[in-house]
Amino acid sequence: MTDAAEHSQAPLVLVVDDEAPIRRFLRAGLEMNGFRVVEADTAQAANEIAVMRQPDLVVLDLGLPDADGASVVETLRGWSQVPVIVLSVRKSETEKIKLLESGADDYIVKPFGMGELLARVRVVLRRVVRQETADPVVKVGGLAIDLARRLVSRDGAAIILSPKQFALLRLLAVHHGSVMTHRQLMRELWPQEPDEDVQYLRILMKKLRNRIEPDPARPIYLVTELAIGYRLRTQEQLDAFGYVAAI
Amino acid sequence: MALTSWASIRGYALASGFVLVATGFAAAMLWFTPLDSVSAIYMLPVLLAAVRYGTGPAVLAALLGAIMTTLLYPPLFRVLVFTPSRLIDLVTSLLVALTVGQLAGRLRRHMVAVRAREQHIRQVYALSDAIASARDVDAVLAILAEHLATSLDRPIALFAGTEGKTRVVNSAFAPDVTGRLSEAAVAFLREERETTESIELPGIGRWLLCRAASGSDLALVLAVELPAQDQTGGTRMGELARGLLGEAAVSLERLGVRKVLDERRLRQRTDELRDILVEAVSHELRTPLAGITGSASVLAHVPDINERPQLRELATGIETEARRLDRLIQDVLDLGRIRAGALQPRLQETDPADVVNDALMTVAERLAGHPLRRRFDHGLPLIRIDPVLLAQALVNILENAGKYTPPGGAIEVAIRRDGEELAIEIADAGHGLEAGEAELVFERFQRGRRYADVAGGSGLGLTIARVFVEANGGRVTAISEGPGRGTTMRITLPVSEATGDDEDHD
Repeated sequence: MTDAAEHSQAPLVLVVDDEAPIRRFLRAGLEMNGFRVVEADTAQAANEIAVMRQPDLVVLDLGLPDADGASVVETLRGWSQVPVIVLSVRKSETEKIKLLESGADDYIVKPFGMGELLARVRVVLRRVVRQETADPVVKVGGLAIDLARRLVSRDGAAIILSPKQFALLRLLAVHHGSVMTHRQLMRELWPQEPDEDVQYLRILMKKLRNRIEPDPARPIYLVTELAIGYRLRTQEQLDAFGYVAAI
Repeated sequence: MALTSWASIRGYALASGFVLVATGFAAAMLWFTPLDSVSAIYMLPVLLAAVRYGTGPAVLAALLGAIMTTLLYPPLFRVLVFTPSRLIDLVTSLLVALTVGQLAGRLRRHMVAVRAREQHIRQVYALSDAIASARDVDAVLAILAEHLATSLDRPIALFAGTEGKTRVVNSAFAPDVTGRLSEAAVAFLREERETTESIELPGIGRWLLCRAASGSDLALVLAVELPAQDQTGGTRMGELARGLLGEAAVSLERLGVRKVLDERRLRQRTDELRDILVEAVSHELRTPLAGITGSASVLAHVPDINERPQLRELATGIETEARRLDRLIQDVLDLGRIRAGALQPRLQETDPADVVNDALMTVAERLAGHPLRRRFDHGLPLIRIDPVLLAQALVNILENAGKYTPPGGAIEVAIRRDGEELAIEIADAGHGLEAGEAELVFERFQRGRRYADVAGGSGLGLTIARVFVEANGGRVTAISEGPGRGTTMRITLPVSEATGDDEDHD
C-alpha cells in the first residue's frame, strides 16, 4: 500500500469533524489501510473541499459547529452521489432515520473502533464499484440473488419467492450492506400507501426470512436495525457478526 | 326559571287559602254574634300575603276579601251587593296590600340577597379550601368544574385555555359531544366578543357558553346545556354562570393559580436546562472517549504493536475500558432520564426475536466466554414495544448474567408465548439467589457483596432494565431455585392483538 503509484490510485476519504483527536485517529487508521485522507473541520470547508477534490467517500461527524448533519448531507446530495458515512454520538433513532433518508449511506455510533468503520467503508465503496460494473448477481454466504434474471438460490437450491417478497429482497440487495429505513422500503413496496403501519413490512420480512434464512428465528442474511430498518449483510459483515456462539 | 314561577303560584294559592281561612273565621264569628265590620278580618290575609308573598298575592287577597265580604253581610250569601262603604273597604285593603306588599317585598329581596351572599361566601370558602389542598392547576380546575356543576345544578363541561391551547378540564358528556363543545369553546375564545353566548349545535341542542379569564395566563370556558323549552335564551342561567365563573376565576387568581402555573413553567425550564446539561455532559465526556477508543483501535493494528502480545493487549485494553466507561456514562444518563420522568417510549409493532437477536449481537463480544443457547418458539406474535428500550434492558440483563456466570457457564435465552403474554427468559448458570434476594437485585447499586470483585459495573444495570421493561408495559422478575442453581430473569410483555397471521401469502 505504500507503493507510490498505487497510492495515487488509493480512494480519497474526506473526514469532516470539528474534534482534532477524532480526525487524527481517523487519518492514521485510514492511511494505514491504504486510503488517502483530506480533512475539514466545518460544514463550509467540507463543501468546498468536496467540490475541489471530488472524494470517493465522506466520513461526516454530526456535531459540526456551523450546520446540522442532515443539511450537510442534503447539500452534498444536491450535486454528488459520493457515499457518506455519518458519525454520531447521539442515541436518537429518529436522527439516524432522518440522515439515512436525506441520503447518508450508513452511520456509525461513537465510540467505535477502526475495524467497525473500515467494514462500513468497504461496503459502501464496493457498492459503488458494483453499480459501475453493473454486476447483477449479489452473493452472501450461500445466498445468491440474480437481480437481472430475478433468481434466488441458497446453497445452490432455487428459492421461489412471491413478487412482493422478491421486491423487498431486491431493494435490500441493491443497497447491499447498507440500512434501508422502514419508510424507504415501504415507499417502494407500497407506493400507494407508504405511510401504512410498519406492521405490513414486518410480516412481509418474516415471510421472506422463512424462505431465505437457514434459521428464520436467527437471521444471518436479512438483519434488523432496531427501530430503523433492515439490511442485507455482505460477506464481510457476515464474517464479522454472523456467528454468535450458539448451540 | 321554573322554580320561581312555581313559588309565585304557590304564593297566590296560599294567599287565596288565607282568605278562605279568614272567611271561615268570620263565618264562625257571625254564628255567635253579628259583626259590624267583617272587612277588618279580611285585612289579616292581605297583610299576611303581602309580608310573605309580595304585592301580587296581597292584591289577590284584597280582591277575594272584598268579594267574600259581600257574601258575609246580610242578606247573607248574596253576591256582589256593593255599597259605598264596601267600596271604601276594598280600596283601603288594596292600598294596604300595595304598600305592605312593596315594603315586605323590599325586605324579602334584601333577605334573599343576604342569604344568597352568605351561601355564596360559604361556597367560595369551600372552594378556597379545596383549591388550597390541590397540588397542581389540573386539580384546581377539576375542583372548580365540580363546584360549577353543583352550583348550577346541571351537568357541565369546562375547558381551559392556557398558552394558546385549549383542553378539556371536565366534561359530563359523551366524548363526541365533548369534542364538538371543545371546538365551539375554541372558536368562542378566539372571537372574544361576548362573555356569554348561547349557541345552537345541530343535533345536540342549545348550549350556553360562558367565558372568564384568570389573569393573563388562563382562560376558562364553561358549557351548559340549555333546556329545550327555555325561551329566555338562558339569560338567567347565563348571569348565574357568568357570576360563578367570574368569581371562580378571581378566586383562582387569588389562590395562586399563577403560582401553580409559574411552578410548572419553572419545572419546564428546569427540564430544558437538564436536557441541555445531559447533552453537554454526554458530548463533553463521550467525545474524548470516542477519541481514545478509536486511537487505541488503530494502535492495536499497527504491525509493531500487533505482533507483540503484551503491547497488543495494552492497546485493546485501552479500547475495552474506554468502551466500558462510555456504557457507564450511558447508564448514568439513562438513570437521569428515568428520574426526571423523561422516558418516552416510542412504541411500534416489533418482532420479539429481532430485539433479542439485536441485544445478543450487542453483547456477543462481552459474553464470548459463555456458550449461548437460544430457544425461540415458532410463530411468535408481534409485540407493541419500544424496541430500543427493550433491547437495552436485555443487554443489561445479559451483561449481568455474563458477570455472575463463571467462564464456560452457559446462558440460555428463550422466547415463548404464554397465553396473552410473551415471555423472554434469560437463564444463567451463576451463583443463583438466596431467598429474599430476588426483589433486591433490581434495587439501585445492589450487587451481591460476595461478587463485588467480579462484577465491575455501575450497579445500575438491572434497575434500568426493570424501568425500561415497565415502560414497555411489561414486568421483570428474578427467579432462582437457590444458591448455586442459577438465576432466570423473566420478562413478560403483553401481546398486541393486531398481529398478522403467519400464512405465507401476500
